Amino acid sequence: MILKIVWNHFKSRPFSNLLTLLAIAFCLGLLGGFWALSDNLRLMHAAKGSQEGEMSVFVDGSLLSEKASLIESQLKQFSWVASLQKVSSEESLKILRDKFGESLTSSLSEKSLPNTYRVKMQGSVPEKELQSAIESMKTWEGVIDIDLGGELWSGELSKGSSGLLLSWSNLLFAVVFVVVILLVSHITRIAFESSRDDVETLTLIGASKRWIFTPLLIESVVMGILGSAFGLFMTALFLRYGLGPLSSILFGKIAPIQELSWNALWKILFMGTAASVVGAFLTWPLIASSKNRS
Amino acid sequence: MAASKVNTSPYVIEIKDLEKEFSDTGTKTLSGIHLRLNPGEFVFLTGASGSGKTTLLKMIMGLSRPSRGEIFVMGQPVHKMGDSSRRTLRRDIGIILQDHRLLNSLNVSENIALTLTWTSLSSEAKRKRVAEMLQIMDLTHIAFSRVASLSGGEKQRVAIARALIRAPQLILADEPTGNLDPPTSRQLVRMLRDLRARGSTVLFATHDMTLVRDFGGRVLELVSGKLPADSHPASDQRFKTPNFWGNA
Repeated sequence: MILKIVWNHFKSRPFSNLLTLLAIAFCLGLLGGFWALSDNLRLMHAAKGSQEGEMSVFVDGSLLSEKASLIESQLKQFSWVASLQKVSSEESLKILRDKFGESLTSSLSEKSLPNTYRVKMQGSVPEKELQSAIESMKTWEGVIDIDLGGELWSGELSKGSSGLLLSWSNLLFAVVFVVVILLVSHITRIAFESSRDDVETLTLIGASKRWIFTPLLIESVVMGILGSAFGLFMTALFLRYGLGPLSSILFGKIAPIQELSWNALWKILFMGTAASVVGAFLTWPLIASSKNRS
Repeated sequence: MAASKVNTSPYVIEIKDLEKEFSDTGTKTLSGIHLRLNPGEFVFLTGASGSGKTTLLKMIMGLSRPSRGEIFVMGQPVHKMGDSSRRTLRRDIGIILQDHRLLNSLNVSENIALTLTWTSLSSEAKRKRVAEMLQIMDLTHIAFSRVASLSGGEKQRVAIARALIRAPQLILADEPTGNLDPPTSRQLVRMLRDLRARGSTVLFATHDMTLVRDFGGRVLELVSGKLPADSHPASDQRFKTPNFWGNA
């Protein structure tokens, strides 16, 4: 019976439901597209490091010399390390000033910069082996960061388009989450208001508030799942037809991956559903405080 | 099924010194109401529009709280019960209103079966009971029709079927004949009066004095929120009538 009530709710407001569904799909599709872009950038960045056969390991400048030597010897133990060059923080600052000019690097100082070990790799290192080595290096005491491609540390300046896009995608994730919550909350509120007579009848004959709320919750969850699915479909279309041209314009090369990872796919579905549930529960106080007018 | 909790009071409804004042307007809608309804009684509640009939029924249903006094329905103190308990109590009361209060999104059978949702009956038993009720109310031919397409009389029969399906000990009817033609109204009253044989108490609010004169019986008259007239006040004599439907 509850499912029939849900179905009739859907049928009674096809236009507003469709609009909400499209809005949810658009938001989640945008997020999916952004994730696909950042995944591609990350991969392109890693590919660049492998092609150039170079890596930078940033080490805390205040680290004692014995510990720095330990890092150096640990690095040399990797079979694929051909040579190692230490660039001190003073040298890094000088190079960065030459590259970016005084005005852009005025916020940097020798103390704010780490020492850098530029690692030259021999031959092509399998990506999995490289990733596992990087993960292990990150746990060493004194290692601040690792960059594939042999770039120097320059704080915010070193964050390339990939880093920026990653920050933006995190922000977008939060914004989309809130927007979906508000959209679902709004449509649930409309559903409640438009079926107020039914709610009063149910209250009159003794239905619990939880029972009255259940169809609204189911409606919201279905909306979230359908919106997410449609959003994923839009993302798939973007990856298939839009990403190639966009990647060529932005980076001058075709994106290496043209499909969304399973991880991103599940994240979008989960987020759409979770946001819908939260959105539906935001209307609970409205239902809990409803009075019978009959 | 009716009266799921132990009923210790001999009366189906017992009201003591009831008063209702609306705080926002300061209007005293009801005052000094004392009332006792025995099991198996059919009672007319009359009075002009605005005399307080609906307010009194709403308080018996637990939809509104009294400003003073006590209300016991099937032995339960409605005046001090929580929201959730009052909802549960309403499941054991058959409620019939002038505007039918049916769910337009459901068909006739589903509307009738609605109150069985909160029972432990099996699906088969529910189906059987709905079929039985459809037959009693002569609704079998429209069992799967949308209620929106029904006439006023048919809608009222569906509302009555929904109110009776749980075999309630108490039926509260608030102007149920308001939208019906005279023959249908008389048929409805006859149908509700027949429920006495099944042990149900019926409190029937109406301002149609023709109906009251034609059927007679116990009549309560509300005048400006007071109850000066009760044709046959309930004595301590109890009606012992078996419950036709049995317990679910």
